[in-house]
Amino acid sequence: MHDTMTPGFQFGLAVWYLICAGLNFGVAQFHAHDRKLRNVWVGVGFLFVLHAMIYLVTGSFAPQSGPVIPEPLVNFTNSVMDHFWGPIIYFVGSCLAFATVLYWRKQITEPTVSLALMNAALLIFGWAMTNEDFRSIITKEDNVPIVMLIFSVVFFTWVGLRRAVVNDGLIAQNKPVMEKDDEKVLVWPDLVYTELICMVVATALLVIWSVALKAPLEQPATSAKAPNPSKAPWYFLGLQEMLVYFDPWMAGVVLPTMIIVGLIAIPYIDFNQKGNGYFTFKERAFAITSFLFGFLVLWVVLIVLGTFLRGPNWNFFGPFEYWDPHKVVPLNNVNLSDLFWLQMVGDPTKTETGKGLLHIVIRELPGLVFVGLYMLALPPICAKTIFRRYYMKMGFARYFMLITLIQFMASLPIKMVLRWTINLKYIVYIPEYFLNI
Amino acid sequence: MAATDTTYRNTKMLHVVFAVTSIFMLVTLIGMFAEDFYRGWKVEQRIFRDVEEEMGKRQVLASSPTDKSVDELAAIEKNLQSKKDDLAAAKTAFEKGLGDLPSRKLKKELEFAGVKAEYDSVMSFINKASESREDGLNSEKVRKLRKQLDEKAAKMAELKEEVEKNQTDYDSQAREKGIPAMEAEVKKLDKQYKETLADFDRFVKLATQKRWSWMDSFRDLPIIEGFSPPTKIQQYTLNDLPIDYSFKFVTRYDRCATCHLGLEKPNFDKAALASLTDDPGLNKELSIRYAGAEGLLKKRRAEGERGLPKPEAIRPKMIDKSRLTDARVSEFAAHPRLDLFVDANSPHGAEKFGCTICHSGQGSATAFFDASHTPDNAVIQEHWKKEYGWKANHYWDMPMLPSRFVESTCVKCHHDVTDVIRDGNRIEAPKLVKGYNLVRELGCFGCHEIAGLKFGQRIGPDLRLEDDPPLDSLSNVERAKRLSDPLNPPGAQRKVGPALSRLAEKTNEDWVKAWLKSPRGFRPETRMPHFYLQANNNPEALYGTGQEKFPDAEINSVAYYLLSKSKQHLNELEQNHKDPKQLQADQVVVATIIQKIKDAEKQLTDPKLKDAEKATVQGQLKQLQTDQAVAQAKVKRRQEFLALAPPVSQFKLPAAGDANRGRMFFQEKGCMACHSHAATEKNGEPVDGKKVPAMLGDASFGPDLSRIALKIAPLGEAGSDRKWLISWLLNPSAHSPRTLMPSVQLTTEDANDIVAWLLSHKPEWKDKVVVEPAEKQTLQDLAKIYLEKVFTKSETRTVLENGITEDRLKSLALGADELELAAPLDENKLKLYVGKKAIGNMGCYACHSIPGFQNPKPIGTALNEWGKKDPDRLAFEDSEKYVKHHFNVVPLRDDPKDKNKPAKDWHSVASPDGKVLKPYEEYFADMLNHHHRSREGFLHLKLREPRSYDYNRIKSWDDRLRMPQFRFARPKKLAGESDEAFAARALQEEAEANEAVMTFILGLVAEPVPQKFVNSPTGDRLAEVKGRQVLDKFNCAGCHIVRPGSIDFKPVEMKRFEGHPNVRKEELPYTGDDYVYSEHIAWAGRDPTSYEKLTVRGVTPPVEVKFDDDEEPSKDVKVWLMQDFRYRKDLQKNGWLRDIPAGSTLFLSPDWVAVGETSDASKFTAPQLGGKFTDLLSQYLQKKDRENFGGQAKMSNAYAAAPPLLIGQGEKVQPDWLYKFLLNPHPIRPLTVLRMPKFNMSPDEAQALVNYFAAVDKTQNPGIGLTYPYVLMPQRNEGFLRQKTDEYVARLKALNQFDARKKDLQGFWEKQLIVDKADADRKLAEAEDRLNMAVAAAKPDATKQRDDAKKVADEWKERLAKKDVSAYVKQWEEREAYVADAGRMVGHGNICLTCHHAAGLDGKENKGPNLDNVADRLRHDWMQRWVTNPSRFQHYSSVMPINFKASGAPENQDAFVGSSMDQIQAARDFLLLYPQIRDWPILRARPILGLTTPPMGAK
Repeated sequence: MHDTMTPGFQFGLAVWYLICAGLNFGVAQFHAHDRKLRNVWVGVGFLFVLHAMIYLVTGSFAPQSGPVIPEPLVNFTNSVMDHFWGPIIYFVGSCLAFATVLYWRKQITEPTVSLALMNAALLIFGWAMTNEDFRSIITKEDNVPIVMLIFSVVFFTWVGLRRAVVNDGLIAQNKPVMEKDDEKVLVWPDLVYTELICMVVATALLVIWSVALKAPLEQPATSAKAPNPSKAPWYFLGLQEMLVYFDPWMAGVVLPTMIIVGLIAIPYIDFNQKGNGYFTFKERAFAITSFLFGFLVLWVVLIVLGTFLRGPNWNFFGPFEYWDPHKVVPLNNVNLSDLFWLQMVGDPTKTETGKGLLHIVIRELPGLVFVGLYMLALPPICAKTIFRRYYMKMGFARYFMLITLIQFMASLPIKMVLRWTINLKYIVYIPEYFLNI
Repeated sequence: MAATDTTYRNTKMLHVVFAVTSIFMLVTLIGMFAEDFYRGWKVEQRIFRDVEEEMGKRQVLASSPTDKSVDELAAIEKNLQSKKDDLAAAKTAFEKGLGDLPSRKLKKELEFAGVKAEYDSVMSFINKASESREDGLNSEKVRKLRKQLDEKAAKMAELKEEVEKNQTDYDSQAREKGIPAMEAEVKKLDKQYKETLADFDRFVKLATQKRWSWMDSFRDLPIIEGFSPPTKIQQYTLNDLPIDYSFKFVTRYDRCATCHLGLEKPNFDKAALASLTDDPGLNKELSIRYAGAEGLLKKRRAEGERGLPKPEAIRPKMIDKSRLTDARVSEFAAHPRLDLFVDANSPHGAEKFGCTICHSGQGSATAFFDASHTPDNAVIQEHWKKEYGWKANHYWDMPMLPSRFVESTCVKCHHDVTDVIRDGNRIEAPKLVKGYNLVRELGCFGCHEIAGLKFGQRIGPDLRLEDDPPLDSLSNVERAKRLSDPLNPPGAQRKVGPALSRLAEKTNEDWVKAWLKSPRGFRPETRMPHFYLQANNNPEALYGTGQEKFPDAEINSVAYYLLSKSKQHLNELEQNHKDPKQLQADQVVVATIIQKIKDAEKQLTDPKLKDAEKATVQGQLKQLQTDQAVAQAKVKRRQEFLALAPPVSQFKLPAAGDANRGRMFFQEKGCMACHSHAATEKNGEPVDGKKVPAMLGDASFGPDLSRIALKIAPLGEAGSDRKWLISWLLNPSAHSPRTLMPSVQLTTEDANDIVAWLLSHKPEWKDKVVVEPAEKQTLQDLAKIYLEKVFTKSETRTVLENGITEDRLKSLALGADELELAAPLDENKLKLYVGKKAIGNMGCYACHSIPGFQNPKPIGTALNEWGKKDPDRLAFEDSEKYVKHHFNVVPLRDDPKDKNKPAKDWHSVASPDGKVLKPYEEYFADMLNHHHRSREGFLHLKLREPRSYDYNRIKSWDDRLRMPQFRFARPKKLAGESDEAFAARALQEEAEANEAVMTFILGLVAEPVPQKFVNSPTGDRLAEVKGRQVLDKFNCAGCHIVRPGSIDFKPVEMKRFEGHPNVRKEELPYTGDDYVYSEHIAWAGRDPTSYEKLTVRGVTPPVEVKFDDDEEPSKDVKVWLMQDFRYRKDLQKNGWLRDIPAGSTLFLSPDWVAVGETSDASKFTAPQLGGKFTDLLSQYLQKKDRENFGGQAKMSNAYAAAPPLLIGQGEKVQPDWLYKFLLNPHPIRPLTVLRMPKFNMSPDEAQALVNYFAAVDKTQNPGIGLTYPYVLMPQRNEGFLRQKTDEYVARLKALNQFDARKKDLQGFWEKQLIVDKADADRKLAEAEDRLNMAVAAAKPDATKQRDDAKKVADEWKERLAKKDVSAYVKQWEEREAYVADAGRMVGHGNICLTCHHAAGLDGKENKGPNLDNVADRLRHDWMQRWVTNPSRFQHYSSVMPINFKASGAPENQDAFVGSSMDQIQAARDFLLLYPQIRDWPILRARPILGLTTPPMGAK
């Protein structure tokens, strides 16, 4: 891959490290009062400067061969992310990270810790960019917004959580929250003027973007050859990822509908008066957790997965893996009915298809029972047990809506786990009526 | 809360922020405009603007007068001016002397004009009036007006007369004073002056136009250029050649000319463009020119001429090298072949074809990367990567073709491929044609379908295997049936390998095994590819797979299969030939059955027949019909066997031949036109006292025969190898029915001698490969692989132990391979089975006809559309690593300075572990990398190491790749070449040949190009294209020179030719010995169309073998003209004209000759087709027999002894004759040492050749009005002879020769009287005899006959008595005089009879062909031209002299009275009429003139 380390790219990388260094020097300046802290950030800044220098030197004197991310690291990542385990590690890891962040939010959102994490991310990103496979995917014009999305989502989440943590502390001490401000402001100039400035900046950025990154024109469409992988627009990649686990009608119709319905329903379900106009976590722990889980883990994380890690034939590829269209990953998924009738009962006649309604019902009995239990039995059970308090507060209708939405949301991780553990294809499999769950 | 003035944010701060963001926005917008303003193509166009302006200036300067010629020009002008002044003065003086005539004249003219105007006005009134009134011309008003009109008309007529009179007076007086002459001179001078400046003025105008005005510069300002920019995208819109997007055809827009702006400008060659970066001040020529132009412009501007630029405007300037880089020089350069492409007048005008239809790439793109530019080698690729950030474009399926493959797209429209050969032997796409020929020769089509038809529409070249049995051997009905389906016409390609059904009588198992394992180990340049020791089945690859012993076991099995099947075949053959009468017996059986069937059928028609009986009879009938089929099949098979040559074992072996003589024959009889043999490189033992010199042949059409003695080694009695080889030489096609080896027409003795020599060379087979015998276990393992596909595992086990039981056999399909394994099983049966499976698996039958494999399917991927195959669908596997580990990856193949040499590091190296790593171009290695995977990369390795894609793959034996490894080039080591140099060159040639094949295959895109673009030649051109394929198929050019080559050159000075001995100057009378046929290209060439490039067409001149060779070889490029070379003083056709006719040698300075891609040492731009063997043989003969062939004078004899030239064959011979001759040649020219072989050619192919020759001459030489396939022969017209005789008698009379001639003949006639009287007497006697014997009834008739005879006899008696010869005279005068004298001339001992047999008489020595037979062979017009000057038609100084000279007084008037031309025609007419008149007594009227000793056959 050495031959792709063009001087231009190496200079670009140097600029990247210099920006990172500048960022750290800025932070150091900010902490000018605290010598120790300042020195730490200056040190980190110089680490980036060192990187920049290396690439400036290799780029000018030894074009085509700058230092690259070490082969063992690449190989290790690839083997960790190896085909079948990839999605599991990625998704489970994301869930764990999500839980960690929420649980240790106080420590993690501490600026020093966050900055350290960010620096680590920037450094790793810089290193990773020296891998051609990684770079070729990251720098694809289509994918650049997703990189921006990652950074901006992280940043805004951090802002929210950080403020919530601070506010929770203030509330605990019965002090006014940060956002407490009764003053009214003028439409002009406070609102309109700032809006105007934002418009100007946004326009300029869009112009720069469109000039700098050309429209990603690919080959002309032909009926003889579909692009591989065939990807949805980036904002639908989460949905497309669901297609791995669900039948199109579920992933493409029911679940998106539920998302929209759910978003509309939130104001009606959410009766918690607290947290209006200020950031807080403690006062809205359930609402924030469930929303962030749905948005970050089940949406953004899946978009990133779909963008960067799903390659030809919708196979999972590690970040440093070449997207080889010849890679084959076994897909020996079975339906629940097969699992039950064939492997447990040992009666192949029951699993035959196309034999009339009664037969279908018998065949899919396990699945139907499972789904029935999940959809019908679970809400009352929850109402009696873990959601007893909510049920009491919300009343039947609101509770029912909430629990249904949560059930649909949870169906995705549940299905994922079933797929990974017992290779389950469909819980209910009725090809006769194109109805699979 | 109350409103306050305080704001939430600091307003001042907001202002600052707003200001900053606004500036940011502004900068962004400026950046956006800059981005647009500096778009790549706009920058290019701006630079081009300067380049174009500068080029315009250079063009002006090139045509501008130098300061010296400015003086000349000034002199012309001065002269002109003075002449003008003189004229004016003379005119004034003259008019003064006329008195009042001028004023009178003028007055009358004015008066006339006035009246005419009135007349016209009245006429218009009349018209108007008549139009507006019902009564039209009859109305009152009109009548009035008509009266006026008549008056005016009368007046006009009167005045006209006066005006004319005045004019005549004036003119006649002016003539007296010489005014018109002066006027004419002034006009002429004026024209001359203007013409001298025409180019200059034209280019000045052009150059001024090219300059940008201030308005253009304004329009090109940033932002303003958004409205109406002077820089524009240039595009060709091609609605007829759309891009196929699978679901839609989309118009093709080619915008290449947006940057490649000089594409259509012929003067934009690279050298001229590059010179723009030189300092013009240093260019002396340019300075002189500029000084001249400056002077001229200044002067003319001073004189007030308008529209001329200031001299400064054409002052040449230097363009900086940073702007006009080398890359831009290429970018702006004109297309290198404007005569073929881009130019509107060329066959592929850009407006019609665009760019991407040939070059591929993304035409709509206007940026370097988007257009999918493709580098041509790794060095350029590296450069592009650095300069333009180039990378492989995956988003365009048909990236631009690198220049090395650019010819492949020609196939899209040139389906026949050979139709890119134009103008003789000019191959416009040499790489493509080479690839096409390789594919044909190597038989790729045997395994890979290359079908030219898709749904009945032609989509590409058609190379398909012919049917088995081939079309030629079908009956007419079957043939017609086979040809009747237009959607599925039969293929035409023969299998390229020999038939193997008679292998056992040719060689033995040991040889076959070694050959199978490593064919090139036996014969390095064989076409047979390697199946074993390949990337996926060599010991290294098989190590540890458990398949290590499979290759050798398979080889054993295949050899066993082939030999045992061939033995079976031979046994059957022997049975049939031993007892040929068995056929008749079988035929009788068939006839009997047929008779029985007829009887039975007759019985059935009997109405009395009862139903039960009927059923019985019907049953019998059915049985009989089955019997008939069986019996007939038996007969057919017998017939087939009898048609084949009897087995060699029955051949009667002659006593051992003379090897020395055999070697001589090998060299002389034409073997070396196709074959080579290492032993001919040294001198041989003398034969009959004459030495046999060495012959360095390099023919590779047939196999190299150096090791043949090792191969022809059948087991059995001693001498069986000789038997086989002799019988093969005598009739090859009887052994291998589709072989291309012709029957060389050898006598058995000659063949015996040749065989003795061939078998006497038994060189050591040094590197013979070892093939281990097959072990039973291995055979079983192999058989198991195949058996498990048919049987279950347990069944397989039983079969391998005991064979297949009879019951189980019955359930197998007919012809199943498993039938070989019938119980009881032994090892040989296993071998047969495994061998058959292996043959089927490897596709041996694609090239060889093998018993047991009739019409099997091709096993390879179809190549019809391979050229557009998606690289994603190719299995690259681990090829990248394979190349890395097995080759020495080298950046360049060719030396960048000399393309004919390999690059410095292009050679094999040893790898760390001692293996030889052959070189591999980095360019192709890179295309295996997964970032740059492409068809080219895949194909290149596939051809080089076809099985390397199995590298690092775990595969079962039968699942491995099967394509064998070919070697495409057959290099020969040159004299004086070092081993390393030869090795490197061999590798380079191999790589080149590999690319040639790739070029062809990449061209197979099956793109539905609209029919009108497809080159579908018709008529003569089609005949040429098809004929060429047959020529190549049978290697006609191995012996004959078929087409001349050509040399393009740019003459620097024509003086060189002025002194040529044969030059014909138009303005001088011609003094040569021959007549000039101005319609024939041998005497009159084509007019040159430019002086940039002249073309001569000819062949390499004959080479005289020098024995004291110390002469410095001339560096000049020599050519023997086969067509007249014509040049003129200038292209306006004002100046003189020169012709150097065919048959002359021309010497060209090597500096003039633009050597193209040709590597031919002769420096021909397009090499001649054929002639190598002619040279080889004639040089051999010169060395062998100096007495008869040596030296300048007798060298021609050596060439005359070689195969004849075929240039002009079409105009020479009659098509009928040639057709018959090709199919069944007979000896013609006694001088030759060899004979035309009888080729294994179908009538269609012979026809194609006949048409080829005729068509070629018809199109090359339109002046001669050649016709084919029919030829008119005016000599055979009824009136021809009478007319000619009348003319001749008239001439005799006019020249007072008539009576003398009569007197001459008197004696003959008197003798003839005696003869005729005797004849009449004899007839009378016969009639009397008949009368005596006649029966009564016949008496009256017989009496009458006797009386008639008596009357005749009496008449003759009387004539004899009176010596009355008037009847003879009358007959002579009316019918015989012309041919009689023509016959005297032909029979003149010193003319034709010197060398030919003619007019029934043998010549002094019969060197030339027998002239009595030419009437069927030759065309009459050619004969005339030939006799006029034979050297115009030969490629050496013809042995035949000019017998009838155009210059000087005509000779031989005692034989035939008339001019030389009359004599030529008379001789020609005589020869053509000879078959009809040979019995005329008058032809024997005189002893032969000019012959001192009587000719040999004189009667």
